[in-house]
Amino acid sequence: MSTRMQTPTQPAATELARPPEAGRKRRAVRLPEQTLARNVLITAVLALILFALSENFDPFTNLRLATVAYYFTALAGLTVLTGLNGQISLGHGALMAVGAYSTAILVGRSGLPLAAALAASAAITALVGVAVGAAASRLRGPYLAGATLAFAIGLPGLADKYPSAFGGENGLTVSPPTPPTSLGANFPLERWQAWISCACALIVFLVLANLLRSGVGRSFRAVRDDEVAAQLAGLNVARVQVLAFVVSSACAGLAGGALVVTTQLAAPGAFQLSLSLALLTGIVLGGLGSLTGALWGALALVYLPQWSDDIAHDFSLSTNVQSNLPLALYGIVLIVVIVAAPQGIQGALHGIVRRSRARLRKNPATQEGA
Amino acid sequence: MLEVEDLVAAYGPVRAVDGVSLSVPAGSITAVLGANGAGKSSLLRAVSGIMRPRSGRVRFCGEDITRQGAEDIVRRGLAHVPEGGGVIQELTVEENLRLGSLARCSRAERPKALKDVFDLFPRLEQHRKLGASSLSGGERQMLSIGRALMGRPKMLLLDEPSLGLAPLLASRIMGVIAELRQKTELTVLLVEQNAKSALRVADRGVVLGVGRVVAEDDSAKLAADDKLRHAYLGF
Amino acid sequence: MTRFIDLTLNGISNGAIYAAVALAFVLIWRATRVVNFAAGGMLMITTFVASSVISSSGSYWLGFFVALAAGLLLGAVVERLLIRRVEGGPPLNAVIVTIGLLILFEAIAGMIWSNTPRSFPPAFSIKGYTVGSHTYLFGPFDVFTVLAVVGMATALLVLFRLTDLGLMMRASAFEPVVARLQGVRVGNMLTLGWALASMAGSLAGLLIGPQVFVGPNNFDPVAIFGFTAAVLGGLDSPLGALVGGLILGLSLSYVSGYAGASLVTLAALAILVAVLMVRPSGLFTSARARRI
Repeated sequence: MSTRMQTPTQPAATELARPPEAGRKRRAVRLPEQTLARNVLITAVLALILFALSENFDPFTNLRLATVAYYFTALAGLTVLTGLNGQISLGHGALMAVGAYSTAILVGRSGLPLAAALAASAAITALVGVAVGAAASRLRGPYLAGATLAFAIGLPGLADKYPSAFGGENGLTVSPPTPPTSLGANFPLERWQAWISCACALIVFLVLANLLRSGVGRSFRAVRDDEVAAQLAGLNVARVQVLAFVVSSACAGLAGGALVVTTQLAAPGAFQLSLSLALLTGIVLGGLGSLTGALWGALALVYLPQWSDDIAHDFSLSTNVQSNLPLALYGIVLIVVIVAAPQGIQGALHGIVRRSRARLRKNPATQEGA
Repeated sequence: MLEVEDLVAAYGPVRAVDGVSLSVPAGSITAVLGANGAGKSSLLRAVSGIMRPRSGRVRFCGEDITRQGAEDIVRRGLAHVPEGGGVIQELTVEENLRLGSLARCSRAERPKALKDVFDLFPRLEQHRKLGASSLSGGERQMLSIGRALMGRPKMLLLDEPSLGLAPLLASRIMGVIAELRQKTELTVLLVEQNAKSALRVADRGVVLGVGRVVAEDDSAKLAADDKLRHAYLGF
Repeated sequence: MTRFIDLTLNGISNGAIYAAVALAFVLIWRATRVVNFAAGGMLMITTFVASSVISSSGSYWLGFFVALAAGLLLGAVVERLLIRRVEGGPPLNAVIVTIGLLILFEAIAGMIWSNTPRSFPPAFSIKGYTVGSHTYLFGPFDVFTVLAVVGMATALLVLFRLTDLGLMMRASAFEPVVARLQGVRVGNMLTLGWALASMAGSLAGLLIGPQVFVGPNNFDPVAIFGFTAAVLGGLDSPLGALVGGLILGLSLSYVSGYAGASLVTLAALAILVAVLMVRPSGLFTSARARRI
């Protein structure tokens, strides 16, 4: 699977905005060269933007923001696993379930503070990821898909098997997180939920953005591109595969925790196979292997169903058609986008940027020649 | 029999064949020579229809086949044995041969075609029911040539038939090619890196360099041209 | 003891159905290297078509064969119009496209036939055979199920191994470029592969329809089990599909019977993981030597 690994667009765009000719004194805004400093800066900027947005959003939109944020958290991890490391997983919905139930149990039963519970959930899911990743490291392609698929449908069975621990069909409810008193008595719950979810997303963004550019990221890509060559170069392929799985599992677990905080419920119904398939769809739609792609994917996963719902309601049609139209539109959009933009949304955007830059470069030349 | 005019074939921006013209008279053996990356294999691929030429013309028996696909071209009697032979490992020897007969051989003609190939390559008859993966390198090359012959082609495009073979086997294959031309008036376009042995078998030689024709002459004259030999043919 | 026989017979019957679906996955994988997530949706549609034909014409067998024909057509159309466009690209793209197709099919089925599941008649009686005092959970319809799947598998075997067309299809799957050089119209062979695979799925739908009822989402479990069986047996092996289906059918039957129905999905997971740990490419893998 050959995919282009892309860092967040902002540094690339601004660095290339610098004209390549020598002797030019004027420079565009220059971001720090060092990866960590640059990513911290970007994260800080994003945090400010999200803060401003959440201040101005009504409660419903803030919940939307929270949802996009936890989808991003899960998708970012998954796109690193699949895009960067080349392992396909149909089981990340189940991993989100692990994180969700862990958070629900830790917060509900042991009264752990939320931040600690979320961190612990990520850790627990990472542990599960070690087991799954170890099993997965021997498998490739569709066999890996099959195994993770079985994991996705098998794991929710546990909730039914041990209803006392996991609440059975109805799941576990979690009381809404209370905003700290320092923020004021009237601080909206939804904004707090959005902040929590966005905080998770920002942490994951920072960690993964650094990982992509690091030696670890390079080892992921090396194993994806050519296992034999990677092995000959001294990489322990199995260990790299497992590490990629662990990283993505931690993200999924954290996302699951954020999901519970947002929806206040951890129930099997939310973690069916369709969730795993949606996550897979999200990373491919957005653009495989790219964190920005994960963002587009998260937006698509939240807004595509909404959009198809709205369109369906615009038509007054028979009940059968009406109730199924949103799904039909969703399916059509998936197909059309992938066929039209095989590199996903991020790939398509990149192509547009590249083409317009090429066109801009051509114009001065023709003027000179005229 | 085969006429190539200003053929250009490219992989993206890389022009592997950059304006090649040559003609192969009926009943002759023409060798295409040159260093690695000179465009020899790409030339064959563009002629046989696996690759779409970017520009230029290819005429076979007077008919323009430039834009046709490989499936149609082989039906006209132009068979291509690709680099490495292209033997399908998962099939048996006999199934590989049968595959070669599907395009041009009727069911009735098949047993005779098979017998002819087995006469030429007795080793294949011994292995006929075995999987093609059990063959050695030389046997595989024989199988791929035999498969091409099943369709009783008018012309054969051979891409490095001696590649990876021990010298004895390589010269055997060359011998078979010469024998074929004698018995059946088969026209052959032969791509080879081993220029020495190719020129011994061929009537004419075309030397490619970086996608272009560098020299075209009778094989004896090419072999005698010292400068050319050293520069492009390595001996 | 009779319980064991009951469960075994039940397992064989269900296993045959999983095998048919697994065969659909294997045929498509071999031809185009795509995992067809839409398989469950396609066989659902053809079963709905059968249901409509049966209720309007009154003839079961007319519906039966129309469904098989519809399967052929549907597979060919999907490959030609859709899969053709994503065949050469990144493998995940084809996966997403088939997922989108699955969603679309389920929605369309809901629009045309409504989301309320309807019953589907079995070809023969489902009343079990009575031997002595015990009535087994295995009746004429189960016999038909097994025979139909075995018959179809045999027909496909004959096609692939003994006919020229089958040879062309196999060549197209293994080495498309070489096949082209032998005059094989590879594109058509791929379309045919999808058509046959879809027909195999249609058969499975007709056989499991009476059990699961016919509704837009009712065939998802059998599709998942069919895929599991295909992976179990090795996606490159039609024989593996049959064996995988049988193993899965039997195992799930025993688990359901002795340990409880809620453990069935966990059992499927355990079986699959156990097999894949020992044979990472399924039970029947033809290891192609890797050229470095």
